[in-house]
Order: sequence, then structure tokens, then C-alpha cells
Amino acid sequence: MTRYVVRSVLQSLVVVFLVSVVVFAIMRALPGDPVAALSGESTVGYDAQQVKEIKESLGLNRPLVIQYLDWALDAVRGDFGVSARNNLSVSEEIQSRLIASAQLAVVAMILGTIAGVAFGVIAALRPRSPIDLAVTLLATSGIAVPSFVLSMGLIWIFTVQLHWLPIGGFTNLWDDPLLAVKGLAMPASVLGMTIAAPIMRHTRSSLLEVLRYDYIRTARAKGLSGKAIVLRHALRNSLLPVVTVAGLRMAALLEGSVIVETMFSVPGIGRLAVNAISSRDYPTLQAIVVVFAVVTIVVNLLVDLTYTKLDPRITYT
Amino acid sequence: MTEQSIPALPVPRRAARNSIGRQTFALARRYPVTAGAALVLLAFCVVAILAPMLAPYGPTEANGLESLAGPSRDHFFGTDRFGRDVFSRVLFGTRISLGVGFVAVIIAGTIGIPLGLVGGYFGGLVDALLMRITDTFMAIPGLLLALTLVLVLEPSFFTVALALGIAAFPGYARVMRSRVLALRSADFVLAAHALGASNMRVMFRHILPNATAPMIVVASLSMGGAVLAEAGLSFLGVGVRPPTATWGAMLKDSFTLIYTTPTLMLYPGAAIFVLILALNLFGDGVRDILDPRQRGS
Amino acid sequence: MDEGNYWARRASMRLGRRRFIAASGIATAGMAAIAAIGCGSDDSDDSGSPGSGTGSTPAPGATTAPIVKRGGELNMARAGNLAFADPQRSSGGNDPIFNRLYAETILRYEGDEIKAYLADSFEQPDQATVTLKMRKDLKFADGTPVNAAAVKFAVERGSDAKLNAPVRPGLSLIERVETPDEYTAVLKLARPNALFLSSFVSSSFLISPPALEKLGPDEFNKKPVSVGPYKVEKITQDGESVFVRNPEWPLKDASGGALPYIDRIINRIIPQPEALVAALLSGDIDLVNVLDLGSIDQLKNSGNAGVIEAPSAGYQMVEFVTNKAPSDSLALRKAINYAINRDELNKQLAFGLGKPAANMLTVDSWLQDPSAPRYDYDAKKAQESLSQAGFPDGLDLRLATYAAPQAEAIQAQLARFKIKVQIEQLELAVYQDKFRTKGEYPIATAGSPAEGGELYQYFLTRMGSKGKYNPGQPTNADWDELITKLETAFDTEGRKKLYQEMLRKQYDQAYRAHTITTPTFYGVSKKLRGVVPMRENRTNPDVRLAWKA
Repeated sequence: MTRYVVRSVLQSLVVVFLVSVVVFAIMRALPGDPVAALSGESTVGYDAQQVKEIKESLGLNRPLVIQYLDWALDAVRGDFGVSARNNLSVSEEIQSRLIASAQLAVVAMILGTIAGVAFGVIAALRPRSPIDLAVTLLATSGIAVPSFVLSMGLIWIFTVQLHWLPIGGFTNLWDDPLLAVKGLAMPASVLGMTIAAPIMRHTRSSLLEVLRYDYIRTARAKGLSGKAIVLRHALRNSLLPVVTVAGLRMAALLEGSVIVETMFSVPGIGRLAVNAISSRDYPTLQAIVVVFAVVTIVVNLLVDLTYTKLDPRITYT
Repeated sequence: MTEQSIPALPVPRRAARNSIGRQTFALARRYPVTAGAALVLLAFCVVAILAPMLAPYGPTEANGLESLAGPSRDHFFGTDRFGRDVFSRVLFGTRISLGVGFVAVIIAGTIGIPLGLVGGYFGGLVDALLMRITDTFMAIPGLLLALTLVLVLEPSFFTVALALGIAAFPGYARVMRSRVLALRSADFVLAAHALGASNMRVMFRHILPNATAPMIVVASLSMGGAVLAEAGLSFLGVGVRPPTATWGAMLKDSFTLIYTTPTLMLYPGAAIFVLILALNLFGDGVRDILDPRQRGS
Repeated sequence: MDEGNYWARRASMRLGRRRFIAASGIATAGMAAIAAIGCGSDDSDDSGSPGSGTGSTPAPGATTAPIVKRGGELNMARAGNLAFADPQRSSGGNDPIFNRLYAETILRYEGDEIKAYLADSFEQPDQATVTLKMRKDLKFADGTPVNAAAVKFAVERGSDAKLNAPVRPGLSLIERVETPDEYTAVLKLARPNALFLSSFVSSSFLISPPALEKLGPDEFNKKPVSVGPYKVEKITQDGESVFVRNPEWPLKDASGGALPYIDRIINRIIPQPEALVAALLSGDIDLVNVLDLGSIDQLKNSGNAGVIEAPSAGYQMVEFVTNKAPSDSLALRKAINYAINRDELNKQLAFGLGKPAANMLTVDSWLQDPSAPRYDYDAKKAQESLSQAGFPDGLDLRLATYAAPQAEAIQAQLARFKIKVQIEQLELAVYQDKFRTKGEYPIATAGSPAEGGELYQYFLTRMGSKGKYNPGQPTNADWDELITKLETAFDTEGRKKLYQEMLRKQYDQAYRAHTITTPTFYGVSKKLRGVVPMRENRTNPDVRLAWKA
């Protein structure tokens, strides 16, 4: 077991390293103005000497490897430099938005998983029936409607017409749970919908697989009803792979937050990404990509380890 | 190696080619939803190809004084803010949106399939390395990766497709790899080895053709993802540049007119919705057909 | 403006438009009441005197006291963040809505007259001196007295070239500040300047010296310490900002009651304009700037909210970099001016609520001259000018913008003359940097608040050499000369003549292409009263005297 854990952690570290290389390469090595990419300042209108000086002051005249190490070592210490937009520390900016984003992501993950599993179970109970089709259509609709349209639809119904929910915003769950839940309801549902469809697909297929096992047949033979079999026996055994799939959707969830946080005015990291895009604030964008990737990697690692610990059939080699 | 002269072994997929029409028909009857989805996709392709012939106006032809006209005989879907014919733009948008999705799929497949194939086939260190690369791109949120690339490369049809393709390739690599792992010890592969086929030959002539179906599943799902991502990029202002008619850009434009002419959103919205639904149903259907464990249960 | 007629006309004109979802409740009566607040300011201007915009701040004692209700919260929402909380660095765009809550001005307009505000009194012993007697009961939010030393400190920091703050053009006219006693500050100008007071009157630049020293410029910008009817509780990017009533604010309203009326002003950032309107319709929010003119009908018919119109508060334009090819060509700039169909733009962008624009003036400006020449759509002249510029078969242009619809409309219009426009959408701050400061794009589309009073600052920053908002930062010796002339034109009539000369010159040089004027609408809940357009910039609502019924 220990060996397996160590290996998984090492693998994840390799991926983190590769992510940093890729992000660095995109920002630095692709065509385009590296000065612009680093400082947000364009060099059009400067003469060669000025450009040279700016590059020197930003350390851009050094070999790429050194530049990378410099950036990466700072990043490991949590220093992503300053924003090209307002000269404030990028890390502080991200930190101050962490709670809002994390709260939204966790609730969305829970909602999406519940919806996905529920849809999947309903579909698996009667495979290839009209109910199966209807549920599949419903889950797929969640990803077939662009999230900004879906968001506006919900806002129109629940905020403008029914006055039930405020337009998102952010309230800390610990400060005012009721208000926080109300604020989270719509953004988390929209975000959850984006991951519900794949989870539903996996629940359905892994349930169908388990339902064919002998013990289920035995249960059936004993006269237990379909529902009881599914809920008592099959679901328990097929839930584990489903949890893994949910973990794998972390990246999708985080990228979805970019648009959802904008629509529902959640002051989170996704919203910061939108600000960074429109102001061409590359240092901030770079940091956000790295942070999102690291979160995804860590979540996947945890899911992986939990999974292997929970499922006795898995051996660690 | 000199195995070029050795004839390829009959591969299962070639088994019943003579009755392919009848087989398709039988499949369609058994899986009507999948067949329907396939027909819808076909229709979209036809529209994309024939857009210039079907569209009554050019996609950027603007009659400024006819801003936001309702549906009429001249303009089936009305006109947009700048007096452009929405019907024509939806038709031409099919080209761009389908095109972006298609090119993205090609790019993702070109990167992802060989990665998964080689990794799965050779295993060991090669596999470990290739899979870490795949994990890397899997960990970076695709939309953010795509929009960063688009920002650096300047937005255009091709850069958007390229960025979405790069963002999507890990899915192909993963599925391909698991397929290869399953096939690596299949009888016909072992037989090919026994007959002295080279690694390259086994991978590309024997394993790859038998992984086509799962690739179609991945491709249809990821194409839906690309079409959606295009809309997302447009929403964030980094999509294909105006005045190019893309569904994403049209949806974003009409979204800003939600309080004036909400019906305008319907056309690009419905196009995206139907296409993605069809792609997903088709993908799911193909998976069901192929997965023998689930058939008939 | 005749409100009754105006609204009736607007209503009948717009009634036939498509509805979104039939809104519940029709409240035309309420609408009219709210509209009256918005249009009730002194639009009927005939004095022709300087600074005659919309006098928005009812002077204490000058108007009949309204029966106000005190207390409560004002929930407002805006799409964009406060760019600079530090009043000296205020971007001037939308920042003043909030800057003014906690950082007031030393002088202010009452009607058309400049009166003391934070100062107890002021006098001008000669054309190059202004003596300010500061109030003794005024304290910054941190308790520091607002005395002569504070004025001196603020003037010196604000005119610092290194900070290059937006208040600098006005303050740098001051050569030195003398402080003969604790509450007397004497501003000594380098040379007499006829426009100094009119520039100075609208700069809110007082800041607490110890607070700035303690916090440093970046932290200070997050939580500025100044003096105004409100204090900053917190300012958050993308989140909630809260301003609380300053209990020590010494100024009173007309009936001697304490100011301000509202206890807390909470501002949220709702970046999506469509969601912003929804927040207002739902009643969660009391006040927004309606960015989406298409939603005006919806708001007018809503049960919770209504709109206040600030007529011709803003205008739209195409800006040119005049010192770089190809837009340095006068013929090309003229061609584009003639190629733009302003009626079309009005329909497409403002849903017919605007007007074709000939210049940047408010419709009721003292400088409006109906006989002045203007550019209108003329395909023949456009093609001729284009050929003259050397582009008979059109050309490619990169266009910067921070608001896409106008750019796309212009793109479609210019395409008729084979001018192929490639649009790049940037955030406002980046637009300012890349287009205006560095001139990286030949043309750009933008919108701006219309000019009501004196145009000195306008010409200084837009036309003058290296003017902050002069695209490409060209050197314009001819404009500088006119601006210098303006500084010594102490009589109103002389300035008016000069201004008209400058407006004519702007037309002759086709320095910009003014496209349409656009009204600004504030969406307000039915309970909110006392919101008026800001005098200096009608696109901004002034909430300092707001109250809730």
C-alpha cells in the first residue's frame, strides 16, 4: 500500500511539473511578444535599445531554462508575480477568491454527482426504454445548452419571476448558511449540470454491468424486486467507479466556473480569469491555469487513493 | 524487418462486408434513436456543404436599416442587430461550427490516437511517459487552455479549432490506450506477432482498425464539446472574429438582445442544442451497440 | 424638456416593440413619477454661461426641502469594478460615483456658480491666486483634521508627475501652496488661468496624509481615507463594497437636517449586463446603470423598477491615431466620417433612443450651434475621399474597442467601401494603454460622457500635445496654441468664440468621427428617490442625496 501511495504521489508530482512546463511554454515560447506576455506592456513604439532594457529588467535575456526555473521556484513558494493589470500580487488575489470558488465547486460537485447517479440509476432500471431515453435526453440537455444561456434562464425564472433566489453573489457558508445556500443554488446547479451527463453515463453502464453478476441473479431468483436489488446490492458495488469519474470531472467543473461565476457574479477565481482575459493579464491567467491544474491533480490523486483503499479487489503493486 | 510480403490476417471487421447495407438497416431498426441521431448529423453535414446554395443572403451581408426585423418571407428567421439575415447566418454558421468541431476532432485524434496506441502497446516506461503527458493536458482545464492559446495565437477559425483540438486530445489517448491494452493479448494480435509482423504493422494494421468504434464514440462526444467550447470562447470574447457567422458568436450576440428580441437566441441556440444532442445520442448509441456486455440486458 | 409629452411619445413609439415575457403589473403612474426626478433638473438653460450642464447637486437652501425618510440601505450594482478607489487616481469614468461618497470636493457648483463646499469660504484676490479658508469641524475618516497642511499635501501629491494621476492636469497649474495659518491655504498659480477654478471645482483629491503614509499607495488604493458624507467600510474587486454614513459629516440639508440620508450604500459587481437588469427587476437591487438599452421597455413595464433618463448623457465615436499611417491621412478620416450612417447606428445600437451626433456636446450645451458643419452619410463623398487618400479599393484596418456592438456596426458600414476592419476587443484600461497611449491601432470605437460646461479639460486631454486621451500621443502645436489662448480668455464671450473655433477645427481635421448621442438610463427601484445625474458626467448617477421612501 505504502509503495502504491508513494508511486501515485510521485506520478502526480511529475504531472504538476509537466503542467508548469506547458504553461510556461505557452506564455513564453509561442509566437507573440514575450514582453507583452510577461508584463502586459507592448513594445510597439519602443526602439531596439528600450526593448533590450525592458527585456533585461524582466530577466528575459537569460536562457529559457533559467527563466523557467526562476518562475517555477517562485511559483512553488506561492509567488506568481504581480498582475499586469494593477501591479498587485497575483497569489494574494487568488487566495482572496479561493473560498468563493471552492464553496461553489464543492456544492456543484455534490449536486452534479447526485443528479448524475440518480439519472443513471433510473436509466439502468429500464435500459433502452422510453424512460431511459428521456433521462438521457434530460442529462444531455444540461450540456447541450451553453451554460450562459442556462444561467440566464434560471435567473429569469427564479430571480425575476418567482423572487426565490438572489443572483448568486457570494456569502460565506459559515457566516450565513441560509443566504449562502440561496446564493449557491443556481450557480451550483448550472455547474453541476455540466458534469451530471458523464456521471449518469458511467452510473448507467456500471450498474448494467453489475446487474448481470451472479449474485444479482440470485437476488432476483429469490424474488426481490428490481428496485430493491439496485438500491441494496448493485448500486453499492457500482458506486465506486462513479466516484472516480466524478473526480475526473474536476477539470471540467473548474473551467465551467469561468462562465458560471461571471453570470452569477461570484467573486471567485473563474471570474478573475475573465478579468485577466479581457485585460490581457497574462501573469494572472498563467497562475490561474496552474492553480486549476494542481487542484485537479490533487483531487484525482485523492480519489485514486481513496478508491484503492475502499475497494478490496484492487491490489497495490 | 521484411514482413511486408506477409498477407495481413483476416481481421474480424472485414467479416461481413457484402451485406453491409442490410446490416445497417437491421441495426437502425434495433437502435432507432441512434439511427435518428445519425440522420440528423448527416443533415447538418449536408447543410454545411450546401450552405451557399441554400442561404438566400451572404453571411455578412448587412442591410443596416433592417435591424432586428421579425421573421418574414424575406427573412425566415428575421434579421440581427446589424440587419443581417439570421437564417443565412445559421446556415453558414453550420459550416464554421461543424468545421471547428471537425478540425478539432482531427487534431485531437492525430495527437491522441498515436499517443494511446504507442503507450498501450509498448507499456513500461514509454507508456508511463506518454500517459503523464496525457494527464498533464487532462489536468489543465480545456477551456482555459484553449483560450490562452487563442489569445497568444490571435483568434481565427484555425486557431480556435487547433486550441480546442489540443485541449481534447487526452480523451482520445486514454480510450485508445485502454482499447490497446484489451486487444494486446487478443488472438489475432498474437497470431500476427507469431507470423513475424513488426510492431508498427501490428499497431496500425491490426489493433488500430479494431479500435475505430470506440474512437467514433470519443470523437462524437468531443465534437459536441468543441462546438460548446466555441460558444464559450465567443461568450468570453475570444472566439472566431466578427463578422464571421458562428453559432457561438450568434448566440452571444443575441444573448445581449435578450430583453429586446429574445426569440433571436432560439435559432443558434436550437442549432447547437440539436447538434450536441445528436452527437451525444449517436456516441452513446454506438457505445451500446459495441459493448456486448450491455447488449440486450 | 416636457416630460409628459416626452414619455407619452416614447411610450407610443416603443409600445409596439417585441416583449420579452409579459411582465406582471403595469405601473405607468409610478414611472412618470420616477422619470420626473430624472428630467427635473435645470435643462432649460439659456444663460450660456460657463459650466451650465445639468446642475445636479441641489444646493442646501436653494431648493425647497423634500420630506425625506432617513436611514436604510441602498443596494446598487454595477457591471465594472471601481478602477481606483484612491480619489486622486480616480479614472474619471465610473469611479466618481463611489469616489464622491467618501472624497468630496473643496468647491462645487451651485447652479452655475462656484461656491465653497468643504472649504468655509474662498476668494480670488487676483487671477493667479485662490485663497481657501477651510472648515474647522471637518475631519478625514481617520480623524485627521482637514486643514491647510492637508490641502498642501494633497495638491503636491496630486500634481506629482510620477504618479501621473488624473487630477494632475488641473492641480499642476498650481505652482505652490502657502499656509499662512492652520486653516488657510493659498493656491498660487504659475500664471493666470481663466479655467483653473472650473477644473479645480470638480477634482476630489483630498486624502489623509498619515493614512497614505501608513498604508502605502497600493494599500491606500484598496481602502482610501478621505472626507465625505460616507466612509469606506470595504472595497472588494468583483464582490461587495460597502460605504457607511459618516456620522461626523457637518453639512446639513435645506431644512437643517443631517446629511446623508441613507445609512449604508452597498455596491455589488454583476458583470453581465443582462443579469444586472434581472437583479433590478427582481427587486434585489435599487439602482443600476442600464447598459443594455434594449431592456428599457422591460424596466418601464416592471412592477419593481423604473428608469431615470439622463438625456444625451453620452456619445459614441470613432477615434483615430492622427500621427501614424494610415489614419494620419485627413482624406481617410474624412472618408470614414462620410461612410458612417448615423441613423443606422442609432437604430442598431440605441434602438432609436439616441440622435446622430455632430460633436461631443450635450444637446443642451451652451456651445451647441445648429449651423455648424457636420458629417453625414454621403457615399459619394466617402468614395472620393477614399480615392484621394490613396485607397480607391479600400484597405485593411485594425480596430480596437471595449464595446463590441458599435465596432461591429461600423465594420459592416465600412465594408461597403471595401474598408476591411478587424476588431479587437479590449478592456477599457487596456484600450487606454494600447490605443490611446501607444497608438497600436489606427482606429478605435468608444463612447464617452457628453460635455456640458467648459471644454478646457476636454481639449487639453484629447487634442493637446501628449494629452492623456489623445490617441497615439501626437504633438499638436496648433491645438496647444489655442488651449493657451483659452487659459487667458477671462471673459465668457471670448471663450465661447475660442471653443467654437476649436470645434470647427476638430471638424475640419476630422479628428474623430462622432456617431450618435446616447441617453443614459439608470434603472431604479420604485422606492428610491433623490438620484440625479452627476453634473460632471451624466452617465453616472449621483447617490449622495438619495433616500428611500
